[in-house]
Amino acid sequence: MRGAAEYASGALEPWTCDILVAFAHALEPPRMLELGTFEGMTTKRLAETAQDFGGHVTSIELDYERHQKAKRLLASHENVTLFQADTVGWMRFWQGENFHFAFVDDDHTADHVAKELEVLKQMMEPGGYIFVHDVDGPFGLDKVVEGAGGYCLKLPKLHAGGGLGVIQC
Amino acid sequence: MSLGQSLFDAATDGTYTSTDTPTRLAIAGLCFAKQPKKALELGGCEGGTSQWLARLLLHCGGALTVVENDVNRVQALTKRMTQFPNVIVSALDSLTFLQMSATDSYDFIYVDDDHTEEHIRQAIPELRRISRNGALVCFHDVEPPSGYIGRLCLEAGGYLLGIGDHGLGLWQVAK
Repeated sequence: MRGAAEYASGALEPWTCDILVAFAHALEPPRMLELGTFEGMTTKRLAETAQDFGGHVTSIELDYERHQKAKRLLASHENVTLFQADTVGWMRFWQGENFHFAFVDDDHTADHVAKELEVLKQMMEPGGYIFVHDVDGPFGLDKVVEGAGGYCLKLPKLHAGGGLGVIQC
Repeated sequence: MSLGQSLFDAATDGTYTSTDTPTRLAIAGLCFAKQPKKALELGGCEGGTSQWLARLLLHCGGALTVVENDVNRVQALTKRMTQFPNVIVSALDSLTFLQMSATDSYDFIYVDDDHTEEHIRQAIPELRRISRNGALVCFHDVEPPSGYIGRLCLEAGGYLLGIGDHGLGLWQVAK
């Protein structure tokens, strides 16, 4: 396993990132999708993990500055493709193959995530895993994940939100 | 704090265990995120799984109690565990052990002992009782989902993951 989690304010907690990396190693998903690149730190760890089994990471970020920052961080990672786009819009226009592993950590409003999961589930391989960040906190995402057939884990937090939801498709 | 390389080392050290590597990796990630101070393994067998769980817990300052009631297995298990200062081996029937354990004792429990329906049915209320609020209970061998281990995990409020050779049940105990 390469790398170790670093933490920047607003990014994923290191232990939650470890869970994602552990599952990525366990499942060896050929195609991974991240909704909400932020500044690319989780993307980097997923990409470095995916290098071990020939996997590829596609990551979407709406914010231009964050997208540019992630591009600089991941410039040397050949198994990453970054897009600057609205996630739901991007998914609706996606013409490529389905994904085996997805991580959702962008706009935390419940309506947005519910819409995202509805579209995302259509582009997952059978048995694929969707992970959702910040399901424990003020956003009400626990109900969204459970409504989509998933399960929510409460984990130590660094801010108001935290925890990880998992949905096996 | 990050598990990083130690997670991979602990979960893929090449030791043969009844828990396959993908399942070990998933458990390692979940266990480390919980940072358990007290962990319990029901069904230590000969200690293959106990060994990497013990190593993992050393990284987060946690202690592991391993329960195994087969005399021959206990000997092999105890021998294997002597290298780990954070492990206690209990040679009891696991239901007896659970009934003797204090309420709100454990943060992480791995269940891979007697797979009979009656045993699991009796164990679940005890598992709930001895778990701390938010404790994570992982059940091995929940595949197929229609089987009773998976069904009882779901009935307890858990979730089934189709991972590895035999699946993994997750149940976070809320009190």
